[in-house]
This record gives sequence, C-alpha cells and structure tokens, in this order.
Amino acid sequence: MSTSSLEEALIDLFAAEEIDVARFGLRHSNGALKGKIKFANNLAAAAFGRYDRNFVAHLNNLAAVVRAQGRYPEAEALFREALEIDAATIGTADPDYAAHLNNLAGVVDAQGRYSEAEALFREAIEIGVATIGTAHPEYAKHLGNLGVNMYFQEKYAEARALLEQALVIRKAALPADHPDIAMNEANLVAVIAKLS
Amino acid sequence: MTESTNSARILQELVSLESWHEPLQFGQKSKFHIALAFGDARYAGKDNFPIEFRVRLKRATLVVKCDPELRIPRATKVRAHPPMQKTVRQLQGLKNSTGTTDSITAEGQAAVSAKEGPSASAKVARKIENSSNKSHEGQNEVTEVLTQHIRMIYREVGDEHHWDCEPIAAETLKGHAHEGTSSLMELTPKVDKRLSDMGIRIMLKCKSDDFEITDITANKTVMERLRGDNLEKRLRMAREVIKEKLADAQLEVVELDPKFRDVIIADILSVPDVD
Repeated sequence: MSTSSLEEALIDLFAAEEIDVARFGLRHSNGALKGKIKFANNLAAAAFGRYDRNFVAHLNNLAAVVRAQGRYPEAEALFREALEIDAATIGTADPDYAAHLNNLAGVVDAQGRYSEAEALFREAIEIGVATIGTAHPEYAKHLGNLGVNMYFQEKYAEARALLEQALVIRKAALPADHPDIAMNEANLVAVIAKLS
Repeated sequence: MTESTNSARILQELVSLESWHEPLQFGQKSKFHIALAFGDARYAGKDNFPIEFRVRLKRATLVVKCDPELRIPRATKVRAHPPMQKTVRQLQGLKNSTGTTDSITAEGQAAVSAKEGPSASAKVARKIENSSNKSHEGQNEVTEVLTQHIRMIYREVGDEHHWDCEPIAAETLKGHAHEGTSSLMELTPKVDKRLSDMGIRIMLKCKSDDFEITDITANKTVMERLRGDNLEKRLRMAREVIKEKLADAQLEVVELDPKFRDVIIADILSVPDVD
C-alpha cells in the first residue's frame, strides 16, 4: 500500500524551505526498497542532474540512511555509484573521493569482508596523505577506521598504532570535547584490553 | 487500489474502455469488440494544493486474457488497426506547381509496414499537407482529413493477446484507438459448458515512464515562498512524484523491479451483447 497519497506527497514536496531528497524519496514511495531507492534517485536526478555534486551527496546520504536500516548490499551499491560519478567528474585524487571511498569501505567492513575493506581504507589513507595532509581530522578518520578494521581482523598491534596516531591528530585539530576524540579513546581502550 | 483517489481519478480520465462480445455458443464464432479512447487529465487541485498539471499517455498496451476454453481463430485477430494497406490511395496525374506530374501517396495511413515506428507516420502526415498545397493545379483534390491518431499493433504474449497502442504523428495518445464498430477477434467455445462462466478480461497497461506530465504550474502561495532555482527544482521533482503516485494507484505487482512494473490503467470484463 502507498505510504502517502499524491496530495500528501506534493504538499510535502513544496512545504519545506530545504528538502532532504533521500528521506523524501523513501517516505513517499511504495513497495520494496529497490523501488524506493530508484524513486529517490529519480527525484535527485530531476533536481540536480546525474553528474552534479549534489547528486553524489544525495547518493551518499541515501546510502547512509539505507545502511542505518541494515540494508548493506543496497547501501554498498549506492556508495559505489557515487564513487563512479566521482571518478568520472572530480577524479580519484580528491578528498571527496577519499571520503566516499571511506564510506564504501565502512559498509564492506560491516558485511564482514574485512580484507576487501582494508584495501579500500588504505586507498583512502593514501589519497588523504596526498591531498589533505596528515594533520587533518578527516585523515584521522581514515586511520581510525582502518584501526577498527584491524581490530576485527585481530591484528591488535597494528590497530593500536593506527588508533594512537589518529588520536594524536584529533587532539591537535579538534576541541577537547569533540565526540570523535571520545570515540577514538574508547576504541583504543578496547584494543589495549585485547593486547593485555 | 490505494486511498489516493485523485491518482485513480486521473487514470480514469485518461482512458475510456468498454468491451462486449456476441453471446457465446458451443462451436460457434462470436465476435469480440472493444471501444477504446484516450484523453488527457487535468489536475487542478483545491486551494491548499500546491500545483496544477496535465497528464497524457505516450503509449499503452491493451491486454486481453481469455478463458482457456475459448479458442481464438488466428485469422480473426486484427493484426493492425487501422489497417495499414486499406486506406492507401494513389493519386495519379497530379500536377505540381512546376507543371510536372507527381505520383504521391496520400490520405489516411500510408503503406508502411507494422515494424515501422511513429516517425514513418509523421512523414505520411507531412505528405498529406504537401499534396493539399499542390492540388490547386491537379486533377484530384485531397479533401480527406486524417482522423485516426492511434495505431494498434497485435502481438501474442503467452496466452494473452496484446495490442500496443501508439500515437500516429503525435507524442501522446489522444482520441479513439478503436471505436468498436468492427470486431477485434472472434471467440469459439471449445467445450459445451455453462458459457457464462467463460470470462474475458481486458486490461490497459503502461509503464510509469509512459505518463507524460506537462503544464506543471505552482500556485500563488508556493511561488511567493519558493523562488528561482529552488522552485524550479521542486517542479522538476514534482513530475517524478506524480509519475510514481500514478503508478502506485493501480499496480499489478508491487515487488517487481520498478523498471518492469506495469501500471494497470483499466481492468474490465467483456460482457455479452444481448439485444
């Protein structure tokens, strides 16, 4: 059954000053997730065009929403689509490409394909070194994610080194009460517990 | 069918479909008829409705499903409507403005094969205009107007009978596809049983991409609040929303990949035509 009527969907579309296309598409489409995703992407393509940065942002946003629902294969497909557009438009030597690679690695990791995810995280780190530098919090995020990946592969020593490196960067670049620092510290404690 | 009654109403306005057949008799042929016409639907909402728009269909398929105990003699199926060859008239000895003699094809449907697309028909329509211009000095006057705007082409799909409806020299379906004055095929009951049990179901289907949404205009309140690119973006998105909701209104199978989903615009049963 339809989640909303034509009127409700159109009133919703024209109501807000800003619109989250991904959530709007999922809310107002009927049936299976595949159909909802297609509808959301058609909306975003109509709004921005398929090779616009806003469309890529939409794909990542939609993938994140779908991932949060535990639908990893669908999220992975969306992250990959975003990367394909990135590669064709901004190229692979770009911080955005690295960030989106990191997203893809995360959902691959979440499906237990750790080696595959590791390669993607490492690629994101390499691009980060070449583009944003090693003092950037985004770079620290890539290191932290690889550290967690190492933890799940039971490579605790390497996990510790990566998480410590990430924490140093974060403490230097972010306010002391930033949630990324707290998360980094908690992950590091978990790794140290395994090592001891 | 969902609660979205306006979506359903739009679909109803797009199509008029009726079907009837001669009373069935064991071993006897009964003529089967349909009357099918296409229109356009204008959505002009209530005060709180943010936009207005118009809907037309680019193409559609008429599907006839017969009881398996009804035989359809192959020769009785109408393969193309209007008939491709019948209305061709060769105008001989027509003089053009340079005084030379032309032999041109004109009036109604030209002799195009069923495989040719709408572009072939478009050429035919232009030929008719040209021939009218040339006819001042000619021996013949072209006076007939092309009245058939929709072509129906038959194909068999499993145990179903499909007629694809496509516009002739136009982008959308408008007017009569079939007026029902002649039969579409004949039915012969293969068994001697209660003939009223033998059903003939007729559906009109399309894909969601077959809806053409035009003339989308925002109401005054929306135009005052959303401007420029923000408004243009919403209007473009509105087209996708309308297509999605029309498709949702009467879906046959919801779980299929949307690419393959059929939207059922009309679904009726043929009734015996008893005087």
